[in-house]
Amino acid sequence: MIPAYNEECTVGTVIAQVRRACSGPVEVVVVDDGSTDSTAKTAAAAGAIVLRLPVNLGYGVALRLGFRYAANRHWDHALVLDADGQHIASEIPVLLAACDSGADLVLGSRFHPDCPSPYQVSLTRRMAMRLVSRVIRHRRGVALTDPTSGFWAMSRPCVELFSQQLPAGYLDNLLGLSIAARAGLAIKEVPVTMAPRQGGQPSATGVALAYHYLRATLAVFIGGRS
Amino acid sequence: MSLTARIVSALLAAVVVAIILQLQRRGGMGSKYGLLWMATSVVMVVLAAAPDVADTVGDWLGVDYTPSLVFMAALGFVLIVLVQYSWELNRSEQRIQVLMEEVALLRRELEEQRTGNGPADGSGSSEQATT
Repeated sequence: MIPAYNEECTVGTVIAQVRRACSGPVEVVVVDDGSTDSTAKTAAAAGAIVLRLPVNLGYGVALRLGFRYAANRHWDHALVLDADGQHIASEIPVLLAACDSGADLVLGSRFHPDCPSPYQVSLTRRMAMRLVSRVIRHRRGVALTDPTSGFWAMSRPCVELFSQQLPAGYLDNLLGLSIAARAGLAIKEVPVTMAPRQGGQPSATGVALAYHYLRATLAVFIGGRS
Repeated sequence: MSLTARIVSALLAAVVVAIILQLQRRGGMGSKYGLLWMATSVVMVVLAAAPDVADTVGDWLGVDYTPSLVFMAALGFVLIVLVQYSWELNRSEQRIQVLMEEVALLRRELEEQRTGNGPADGSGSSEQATT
């Protein structure tokens, strides 16, 4: 499942890479979050199933839509990755293998101790992530190195949980994480490498990013509401 | 209260009443908030016409400086209304989001039926939504 907002340059390549990386029956779904470019067309031409939101509603809504689709179609596993090519599709089997070995939710961590070269992020993001990690560890008892990773795989119970309970905010995976932890699902991290962004714009920087994380942290605190 | 102050506050109250009535008449507000604002404008008119009312109420409550009572009441009222709006806005936002998800899923289903089952090419969804 690939949430995408104005990623026409990269979405086609990502779809092709996902297809190549997966063996067995796989549905590649692009959730087009009201893109104003030709993301939906490009994705459809690349053979993906396209779910199109009529207006841009944010990552959280795109995710929940994807999960609802996945739950309706009874997927055994769902895997989420970014449309900008930052996540390396050849690592999909690693995440799925971790899923098969008993984890309900597997996060691809860019900061895992086993990562060969840790991913560089801006100071704001680093500080925010440290804070968020701490809150999650404190509130939910799950120690994570990269709670904001957008590269994750999950088993069917987790898909069903998310399709019903993910609040419809624009907040990212943090809330999902919080909900999964509260539901007692097994969460695991595996090291992944991260390619530089292939195109498109980062979703937020500076103050907007800090505000975003502050809001997310508050949401984790009050228990998974947007 | 001086005569000028009275005239100014009476004019202000009249303007508010006129705006509220006009909006109400055109159906631009609906009865949900209409009643609230009608009541507010009535209070404003009463205060403008008879400022002594505020003094009387202040005496009852043991407030020495009546204008502060009026300000406090007004501020408290505005605050409550704003909080109620935040709540209302959040709720409508969430409902819109659910609706949009439903639209996206239904559109996908429609495409599937048009093109036969299986992963459709989705070209039917290329028209731009106008918002």
